[in-house]
Amino acid sequence: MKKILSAFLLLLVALLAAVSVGSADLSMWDSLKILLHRLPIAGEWVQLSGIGTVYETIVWEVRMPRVLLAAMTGGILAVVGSAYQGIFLNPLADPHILGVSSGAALGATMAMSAGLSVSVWGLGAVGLFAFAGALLTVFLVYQAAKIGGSLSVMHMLLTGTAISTMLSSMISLWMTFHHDQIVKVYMWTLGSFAAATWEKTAFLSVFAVVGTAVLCAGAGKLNLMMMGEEDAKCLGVDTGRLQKTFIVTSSLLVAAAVSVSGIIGFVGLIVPHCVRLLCGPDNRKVMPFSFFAGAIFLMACDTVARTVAAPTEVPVGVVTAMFGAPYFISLIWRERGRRGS
Amino acid sequence: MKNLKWKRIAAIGMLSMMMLAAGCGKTPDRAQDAGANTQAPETAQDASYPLTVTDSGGQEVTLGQKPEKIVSVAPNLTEIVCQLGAGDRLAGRSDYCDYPAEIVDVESVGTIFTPDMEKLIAITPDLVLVSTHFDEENAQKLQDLEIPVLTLFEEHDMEGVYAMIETLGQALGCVDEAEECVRKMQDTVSDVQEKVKDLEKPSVYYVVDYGENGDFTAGGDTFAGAMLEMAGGDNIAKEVAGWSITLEEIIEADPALILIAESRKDEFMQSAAYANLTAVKEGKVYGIDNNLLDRQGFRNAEGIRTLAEIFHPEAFE
Amino acid sequence: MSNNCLHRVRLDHVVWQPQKGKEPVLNNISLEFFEGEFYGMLGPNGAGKTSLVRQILRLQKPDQGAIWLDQENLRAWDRDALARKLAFLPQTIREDVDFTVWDTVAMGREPYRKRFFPLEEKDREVIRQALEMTDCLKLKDKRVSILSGGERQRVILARTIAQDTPWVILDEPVSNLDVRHQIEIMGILKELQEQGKTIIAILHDMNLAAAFCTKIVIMKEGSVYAFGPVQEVLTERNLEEVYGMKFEFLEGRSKNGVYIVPQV
Repeated sequence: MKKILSAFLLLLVALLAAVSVGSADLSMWDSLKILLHRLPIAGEWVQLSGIGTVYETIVWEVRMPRVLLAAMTGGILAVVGSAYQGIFLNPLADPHILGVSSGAALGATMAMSAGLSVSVWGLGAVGLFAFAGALLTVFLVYQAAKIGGSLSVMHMLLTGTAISTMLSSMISLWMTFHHDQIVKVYMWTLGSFAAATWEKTAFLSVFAVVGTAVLCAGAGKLNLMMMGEEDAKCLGVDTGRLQKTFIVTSSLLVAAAVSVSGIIGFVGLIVPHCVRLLCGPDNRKVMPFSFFAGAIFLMACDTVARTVAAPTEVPVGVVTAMFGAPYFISLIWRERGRRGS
Repeated sequence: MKNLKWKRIAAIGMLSMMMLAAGCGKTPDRAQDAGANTQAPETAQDASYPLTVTDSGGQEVTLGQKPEKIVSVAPNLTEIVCQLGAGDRLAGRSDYCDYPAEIVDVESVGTIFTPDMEKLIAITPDLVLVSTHFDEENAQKLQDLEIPVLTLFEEHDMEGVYAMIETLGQALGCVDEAEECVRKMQDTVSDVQEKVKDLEKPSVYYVVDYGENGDFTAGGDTFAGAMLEMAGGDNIAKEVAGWSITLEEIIEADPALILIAESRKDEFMQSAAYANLTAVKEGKVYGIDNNLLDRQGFRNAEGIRTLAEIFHPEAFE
Repeated sequence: MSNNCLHRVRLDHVVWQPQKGKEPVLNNISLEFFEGEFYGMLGPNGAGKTSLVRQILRLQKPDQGAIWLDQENLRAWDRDALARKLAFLPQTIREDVDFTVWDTVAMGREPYRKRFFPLEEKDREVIRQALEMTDCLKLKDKRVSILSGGERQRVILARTIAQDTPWVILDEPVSNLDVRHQIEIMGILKELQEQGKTIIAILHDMNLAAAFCTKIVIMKEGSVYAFGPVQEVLTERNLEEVYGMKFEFLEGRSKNGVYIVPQV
């Protein structure tokens, strides 16, 4: 419990740090002052004299929602990654494994080509279509995997891979005929938090809080699942129900994350493993810590993405891979050294 | 696994970005209305503000006063702004805006897709000009922050470009300059068309891209394709919709002339795949400044003249 | 005795056929297990011992017939409640999972745990006792993946004990162990029985069965061949019939009278 609390505090510190840096010509201290000014109680003590209102807009309307959105997306991707790795008994499982990303990308592609403009829950047409595409895909995978008997996770993985490949080629086909949309689709698939708004942040936070709580509630049972399905049953786990709960919840989470931020790889795969290397395989620890670690990691990566080559924005997925992979490898080295094997 | 899956998309995407970085500007299917129209008050001969302009997305953009701090996130719109004599009012540009040369001194706010919003807002612009590739959600965000955004999609033909220039002239309070600009363009174009109208049209292939990702050209329904025809050329891809063409079709058509961006000409001529084309063998491959074709604005007229001079040198002694 | 009528496992004409059209693996089995006994289940490979046990654990659904636990159809039980009634010791557990011995044994407490709450002191005490009983206390912080086969077997047994159920079902708990560990584990099971639990163990060593069990079930070709007290069931005739070979019964060589040696 104490550790969870310190992880949460670390997240807050990281959040403050991330909000205090940016490409606008504004000192870290001034950024913090603007942020604190907006908070209840603390706001009374902070004077904003000498800071232009445009900077208030930048910190509060541009930077803050973006940082929060990145944090929640990172948390969601990492916690879903840990859940999938447990439920599919597969260390290579990542949040996109059931075809969610391909479904979302196809939806987004179609919305871009159609040029629709609607807006619900702070999501534009692209986000809404991506959300719908992601959910439809998982539903399709789920139904297809159930054909000819009860649900098996192995079936789901294989079906997911197949459907995901099929959807990807549908995107390629679509783009062959809508050549002018290729760049937009490509930029979307790289993922970005540039278009963050408070509405999107609110939308995603509902999913992040509820979904993560549901997943973490099943963490103990997931431990047993990792010992094998039959072992779990004998220890009192209704494995079918647990799988269903996890897959449905995770899919909703990923669909929501993908629809506001595009496809960001690596976080969901690597962060849970890093957490496991640091605190063991117990999902009661792995899942909540993955959320915090994923949130901090993606927030940091996005901060790099928006500042390192400013004003040009580096795709955040590029940053996650470039910083995450070496760190992950170094953790593995350390672990091997510790075990002396 | 995912990376593999996206490799193809990524490859095509990268290629397109290169094309954009080099030339910037493809005609979207989406700009339904050919040209945007303006709804200025009757007396708006001198563009009295507040002023409402309808952009090519069909949205009404209201300007409280004459814009003095303009950010243009589209290279072609940057060119038009400068042509209308409002270049000194530009306070921000995109990474790709590089013409006229002095514009490079203006601060950049990033790519044409997703600008650095902090930088953009810090400029406190009173008008942001964006084109087809700008992220709609970012445009929405700017509007939410009460920063007017004028979206001018790329057009299908010269009439559309004229309308675009006029709309921009209205918004900037440069109506006269816009009219003057359009008149000059029309003069140039009709002069060229007069000269080439009875001449035999040489077959032309315009290389947009080539190589392992496939061959890309400007089809008959594209803006660049239309320019080739206006300049008195016979586009071998005039039946093509969009940008894709196959090597077989190129060899079959065996164009008399080939046009390509100056920077890629030598590389193209040395490529084995095209060595058997008559135009390559006879040295009829012409390097051009592809921005004249790809960026919609004042320089398109000059582009048509450049093309016509290549197609029919005899008509321009 | 009336108590036994309530707490029992009853199989009622159970048929299980893994594939349609093939011979059933369990062929019309009716059998009753009573509380407080130590059942040893014997029979050649493929006789259906493991399948029978899996039926009782509800890992497989019978094609015909039903199984009753405490007068209630097994299918009506919640998994959670079932796990507080029946504990199972599988032949092996996954070795590639990096849980510590303590964490693994603590899994036995899972059916009793509340979500989001840490282990209660009571649970910790049960785990500690289970570790002590199986002589695993000194291993508690080690990872299961680095243990030897014998140690690992004791750890799973500790987990099964920590589950603290009235019924303990074991699939070959001693077959991969050396003689000393075999005797040790059988002794622990006997201790559990004496504490009032009911043990059902699939065994291969009939002398161990004879020494520790109170009742024997012999299975052959998907049916129960013999069922009853040790002396009545472990006879020369029964064993010859079931295994299709000769056995020699050496009198007076062990504490319960006979030592059974297969004739080579």
